[in-house]
Amino acid sequence: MKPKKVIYLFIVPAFLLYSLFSLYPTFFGLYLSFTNWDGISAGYDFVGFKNYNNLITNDTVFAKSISNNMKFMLSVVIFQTLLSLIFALFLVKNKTMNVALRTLFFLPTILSSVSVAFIWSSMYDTNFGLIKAILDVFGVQNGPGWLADPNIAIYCIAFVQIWAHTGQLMIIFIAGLQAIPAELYEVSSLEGATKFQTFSKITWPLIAPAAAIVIAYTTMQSFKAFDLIFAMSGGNSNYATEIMSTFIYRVAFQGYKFGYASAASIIFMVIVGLITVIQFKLLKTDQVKY
Amino acid sequence: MKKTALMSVMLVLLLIVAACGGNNATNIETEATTTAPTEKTPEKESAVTPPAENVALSFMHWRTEDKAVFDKLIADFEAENPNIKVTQTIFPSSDYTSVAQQKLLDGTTGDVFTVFPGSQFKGLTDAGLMEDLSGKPVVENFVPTLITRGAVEGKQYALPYQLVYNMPLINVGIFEKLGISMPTDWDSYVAALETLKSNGYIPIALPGADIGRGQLMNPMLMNENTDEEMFPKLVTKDTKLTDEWYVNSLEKWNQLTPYFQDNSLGTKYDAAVTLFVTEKAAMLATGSFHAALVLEQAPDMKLDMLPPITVPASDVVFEGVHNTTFMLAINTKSSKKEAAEKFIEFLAEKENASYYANNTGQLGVVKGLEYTSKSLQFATDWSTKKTRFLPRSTIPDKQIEDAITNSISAVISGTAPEKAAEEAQKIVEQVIQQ
Repeated sequence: MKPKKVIYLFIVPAFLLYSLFSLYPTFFGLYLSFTNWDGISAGYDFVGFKNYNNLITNDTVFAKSISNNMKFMLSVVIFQTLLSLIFALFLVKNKTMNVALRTLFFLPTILSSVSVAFIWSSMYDTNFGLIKAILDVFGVQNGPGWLADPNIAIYCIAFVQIWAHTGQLMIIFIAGLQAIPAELYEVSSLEGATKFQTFSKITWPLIAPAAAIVIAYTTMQSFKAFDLIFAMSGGNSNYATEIMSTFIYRVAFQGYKFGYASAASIIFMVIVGLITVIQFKLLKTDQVKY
Repeated sequence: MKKTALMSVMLVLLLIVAACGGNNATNIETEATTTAPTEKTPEKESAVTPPAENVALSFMHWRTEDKAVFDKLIADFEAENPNIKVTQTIFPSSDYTSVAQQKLLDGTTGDVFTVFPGSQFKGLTDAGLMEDLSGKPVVENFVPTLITRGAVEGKQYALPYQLVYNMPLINVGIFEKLGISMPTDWDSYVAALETLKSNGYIPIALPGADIGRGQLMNPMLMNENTDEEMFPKLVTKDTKLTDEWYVNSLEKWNQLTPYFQDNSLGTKYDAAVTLFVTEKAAMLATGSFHAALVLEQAPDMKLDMLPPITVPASDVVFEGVHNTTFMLAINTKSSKKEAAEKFIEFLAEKENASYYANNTGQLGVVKGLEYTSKSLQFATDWSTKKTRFLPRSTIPDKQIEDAITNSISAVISGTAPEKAAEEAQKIVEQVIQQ
C-alpha cells in the first residue's frame, strides 16, 4: 500500500465515532422531523412539512423562545467579552496578586451548572436570599423580583452565565495579551501615545484573533445554556425564560412530541449555523504585521 | 522505515482506543441488563431443594425520599420470595417523565414502575407499555372509586398507591388565635385573608416558581366548572379558556394576588414551606403531601386544609380536590411479569400499605389502611367529604398545561384576566393544529 492511502486509515476510528454519535443522530433527527412520532410508540405517520409550518407560522411559544435566546445570547456575548477583556487588561502582569485574582475569577468555571443554578436561585430568592438580605441592610424594601419578574428574569440568568464563565475567557485574553511584544509598548510610550491610542493601535489589533475566539465560543456556550436555564427557571413563569433548547426538551420529553421537537431542533441548528457564518465573516481578521 | 513503524504504532493505538470505546458500550449494556446486586444465589446457600428460577426485578419510581421505606418492604418481600431480588431505580420527579419512557422501552428497567396520572399515563397507555391488570385479584385491594385514573375504557392499567389532597395547608393555631372560622364562600374566604393580612401574616405562601400555580389552580377551578372533562374538551373545541368559567377563575386569582407574599412567582416550595413553618404565613398553597415535611420542622403545629371556595355557598358542589398518584404498573416489555405481579400484590397488602403510608407520610388508596402518623391523621376527615379528582391531571397535553399555568403567572404579574385567557387559548389552538 502506498503511504498516502495508509494515512486515511488513521482517521477511520474517529470518523466512525463521529458518524455514530454526531452524523447519524443529526440525519435521524431530520428524518423524524417529517413525522409525528411520540418517542415511545412503535408506529408513526409522515406529516411532510407540517411540523415546520406550525413552528414557523403558528407557534408563538417557539417564536418567544427564539426571542429569549437572542436576548440571552446578546447579553452574554457583549458583557462577558467586555468583562473578560477588562479583567485580562488589569491582571495581565504575572504578579502574585494578579495570579491569585486570576485563580479566584476562574473558580466559578469549574463548578457544575446545576450547582451554580442552585446557588444563584437561592441568592435570588426574594424571601430569604442573600441579595434580599443585602438590600435590607441598605434599606431597600421593595427590591426587584429577579426571577419572578418576567421582564428581567432572562437577564438575571444571563448575569449568572456571565459570572460563571468570564474567568475562563479572561484566560484566553491574557494569553493573547502576553503574546504581544513588550517592545511595541516601549516604542509607543517613547512616542508619547496615550493609553487609549496604545490600546486602539497596538493592543486591540493584536488581540483581535483572541477576541474572535472568545466571541465565537461565548455565542456557542450561550446557545448551550440549557442546564443553567432549566435549573433556575423551574416553572418557566409565563415563558419568560424559555429558550430554544428548553422548548425542545419540554415538547419532546414532557409533551411526547418527538417529531415536532425534531423539527424545532433542525430550525435551531439552522439558526446557530447562520449566526456562526455571520460571525465568521464579521470577525475574520488579517494577521497584523509589525 | 522509521516513519512506517511510527505510523503503524499510531494506527494500532487508534484501533485500541476505538476497541475500548466499543467495550464501554457493551459494559453499559451489561449493567443495564443486570440491575440486581451480586448477592449469593439461594442455590449456593441452601443444600435442600433447589428453588424456583432466580428473578431480578427492577422497581422504577421517582420518590427518593421513600427509598429507605421501600428498602424495608423489599427486604420483607424477598424474605417471602427468596428467588426474587428487587432493585429500586429512582429518578427525581422533575426528570421522571422524560427518563421513564426511554427506560421502559427495552424492558430491562422498570419491570414494576410508577406513573403520574394525566399526560404521562396517557402517553404510556397509547404506547402500550402498561400491562392490563383488569380482573387480577390485586385490584380488589384498592378503593374502587380511587383507581379510576389508572383505567382507560374499562381496562385497569395502573393502580394508584398514594392519595393526595391538593389544597392549601393551614395553621389552625393562627386561625383560632384570630377567631377566623372556616369560610364557606368566596366573600368569607377573602374576608379571612384580609383578617390575616391586617394582623401581619402573609395569608398564603405560594411557591409560584415551581409547584404553587399547578397545585392551587385545582381548588380554584373545582366549582367554577364541575365538568370532569373540562380540560379534555379543550382539544375537541367543546370548551375554551376564554369561556366564562376560566376567566372567572383568573379573576379570582387576580383578587388573591395581594394576599400572596411579595414576588411569589420567584418563590420555590422550600422557601414557601419555610414561611409557613416559621409562622410568617398562615397558609401554604401546596397540599397534604407537605404535611410530613412541615411537622418535621414544626411538630406542634396543628394542621388542616382549606381550599378556596370561589363560588357562593349555594353553588358549592365540591368541598375539595384529591389526586391519586404514584400509580403502580407492570411493563409490557418485562420478561418477569409474574414476579412483578407478586411484588405489586405484596405492596397492596393492608399491612404493607399501612407501613408505607405511616412511614412516608402519604395517604394511601388500599382498603382499610390504619394511619398512626400525625402527619396523616389530620387528613382522615377528608375521606368523608365530597372531593374532586385533580383537574390539572386531566389536561391531555403538556403544552396546554403550560399555557394554563402561565396564564396564572400572567395574571399574578398584572395582566388582565381576559387577556391572559386569550393568550392561553391561542396556544391551545396552536397545539390542536400540531
